[in-house]
Parts: sequence; structure tokens; C-alpha cells
Amino acid sequence: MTEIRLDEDATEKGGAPAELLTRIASRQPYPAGDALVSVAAFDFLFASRGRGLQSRRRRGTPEAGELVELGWLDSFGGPSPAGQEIVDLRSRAPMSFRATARGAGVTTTWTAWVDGARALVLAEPQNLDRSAPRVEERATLHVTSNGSALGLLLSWMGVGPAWTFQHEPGKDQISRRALDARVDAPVGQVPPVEPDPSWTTARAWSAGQWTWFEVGSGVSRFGTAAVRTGDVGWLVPRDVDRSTVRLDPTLPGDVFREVATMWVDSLEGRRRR
Amino acid sequence: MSNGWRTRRDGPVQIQVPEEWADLDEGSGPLVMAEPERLDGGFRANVVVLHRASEQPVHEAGALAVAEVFALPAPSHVLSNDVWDLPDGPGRMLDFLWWQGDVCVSVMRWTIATGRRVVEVTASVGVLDRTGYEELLVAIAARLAVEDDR
Repeated sequence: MTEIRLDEDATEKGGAPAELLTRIASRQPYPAGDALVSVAAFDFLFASRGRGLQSRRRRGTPEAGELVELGWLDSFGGPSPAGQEIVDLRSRAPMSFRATARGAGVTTTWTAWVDGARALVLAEPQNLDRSAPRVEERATLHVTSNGSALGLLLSWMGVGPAWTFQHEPGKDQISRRALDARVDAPVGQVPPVEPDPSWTTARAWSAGQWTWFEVGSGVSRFGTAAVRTGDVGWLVPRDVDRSTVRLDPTLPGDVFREVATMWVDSLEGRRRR
Repeated sequence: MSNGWRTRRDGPVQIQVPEEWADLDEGSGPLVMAEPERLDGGFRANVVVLHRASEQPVHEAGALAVAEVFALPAPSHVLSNDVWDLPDGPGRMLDFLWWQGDVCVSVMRWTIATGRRVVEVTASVGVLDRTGYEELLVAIAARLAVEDDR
């Protein structure tokens, strides 16, 4: 019989054996894409659209060199057929989705341009754990399907299983300043938690990096915000007043539902509440 | 009275699906049911029911269900794993994605451990259909009954 490791804190809190769920996130890296490209080069490619040829000065830039190496620019400095496919997908897409991940003093961005069943996805490196050595700073590009793009977003956000408990006993609110400080804290320099934290806040506070996600679509202006608290769960910040926020513990499955609903509603042009 | 549902049985396990769903199993082995062919040719929502005699407690069956996703021969991503009990036993609901080329499939897998048997209900749907189908798939899972354990 396989030995099953338990999450001892969650087992004690929930009153029943709870299998260990942390560390699943680090075993689920963002899927490899069709190419790695710097954001500057990607933007350069888009700026090259409609140009049959480019001036020698523009052709000599590092961005142009990167695009030639990728086979996306031809020798005249205009998009190659492969480059043109990317340009077309982006420029024709009537819908775009954007997510930002702010944590440990860094913000990275994920963007998808969706045109019917097809999607172009450009993802800067995930920002879930800046303590890990970073070997790749370029963005990952996928040319894929609409549904696959939604799956890529959920992967990029590091949505993964976590035992979720309500706050009581203890406070469910903290100051906005303390929340910002926790999110922006460099790895290994976590500020002290405010007095009388709840079980959930205390567990999250001592977990890994906190990452504040904002996800929305280009047309609807409706979006969703949630804070990933290391591998132990998600808290959704709700304004109480100008200086205080309530941190609502949220099931990872509900983060998934919220993002998926936003995605589908945006495609169908439905207004959100 | 069918009320639009019909019952499928496999030994001590039974479940109900909408009347218009097709049976894709051959009458032996796991129960496999799917919605009718779609006009758009898209991924058909389907449900598979597996069971095995086992005294595994639910937290072990749940951990095993997660490990099985990592063993899939396709890219996958585990999204959540929560407590989901039935009258017939304590359970888990595992939510994951997997990719078959450009098709991204959303899977809900309910695992019930009665103490004598572990039953798995796996519901799959294209990820863009997930929010629209969730209520139906949950209703199917809730119609699971395990009879040999009482």
C-alpha cells in the first residue's frame, strides 16, 4: 500500500485525514509553446505589419535579429508567411484577454487574442515563486484554439488544489497597507503579520509568495481579482473601507469557475454583474 | 416515471443519465455514456463510471486520483480537489484539464470510498462548455448509488 502523506494542519483543522496537496503547483509548469520570444521583438513584429520592407536601421535592431532567427521576418524586414500568420491572428482578433500577476516586486503579463476558434497567446514567465532560479525571461507564444487558451491561462495562474477553510476564529480583515506589503515583499523578507490573524490568514501568511492576479477581457471592462497565497490557497480581497480589506477564502475550483465564466460571457457578449 | 432520466447499472453501482444520452460501452466493463452527436462536431460531453473492491479510505483514494492525472500520457493540469460526500460514502471531487492536441478538455472526477468499494464518476466536457454543462454533470454524479455496502 502506498504511503499517503497528509497535510497535518488541514487534517487537524478539518477533523478528518486530508491528503497533502501543496507542491502540486511546482509539478505543473506552464506548457511549452510554439516559440519563445521577447516582448519587444513580438511588438516589433506587430509594428512591421503592412510594411513590405524596413529601413536598414530598423533591420539592424536586436528585435529584428531575434525575429529573423525565429523565421518571422524575411530578409527585406517584412513578416515572413509564419510571421504574417501571427500578425494576422493578433490584428483580426475581435476579442482579447489579459491577466497580470503582481508579486515579489515584479508584474508579468499574459495576453490572448481570440478570433473565433483560434487564439494567439503570449505569456511572460509565470510569477508564482521568484525564489526559484530563473532561466528564461522570454515570453512563450502559443498558436492554439480558443478553449486551449483558457486552459493555458488557468495553468499560468497556477490554479491548483488547496484545502480551504473560513477565517473564524480570528480576524478576516487586514489593512490595505499590510496586504500590499505582503504581496510586494521580496522572497524571504515577509513582513510580520498583523495581530490576531485567523488560522487561514496565518497559514497563508507563512506560505510562499503571494501573487495578486487581475484578469479581464478587452471589451467588457469586467474582470476579476484574486490573490494566490503560495500553494495553500486563494484569497479574494473585498474593499471594506479606504484602508481595510476583507480577505475571502476562495476554493481553487471557484477561481477556475470565475475565470471560465468571465471568458465565456465575454465571448458571448454578455454583460457581467 | 423516468422524468427524463434513465438508469444504468454495473454490479452494485448504478447511475442515471438523461434519456437522450447514448451508451458507448458494450454492456460489459465500465459504464460509458455520452450526449448525442453535436451538430458542430465538437467534443461530446460524457460520463464514465468505474468501481473496484477496495477498503481504501477516501484520503488515499483522493491522493491516488491526483497521481493518476500526473500519469496521463497527455499534458494535464490539476485545478482543484475538494471534499464531496455522498449518502453512500465520503468522497472527493477532482477538477483537472487535459489537452488532446488543441482540444482542452475539462474533467470532473468524483471519487467515493465506502470502505468496501471505491467508485469513480468521471465527467468530461470541452473547457468552453464547462460552465454551461456543470449543473447537468453534477446532477448526474449526484444520482450515483452504491448498493452492496449496506
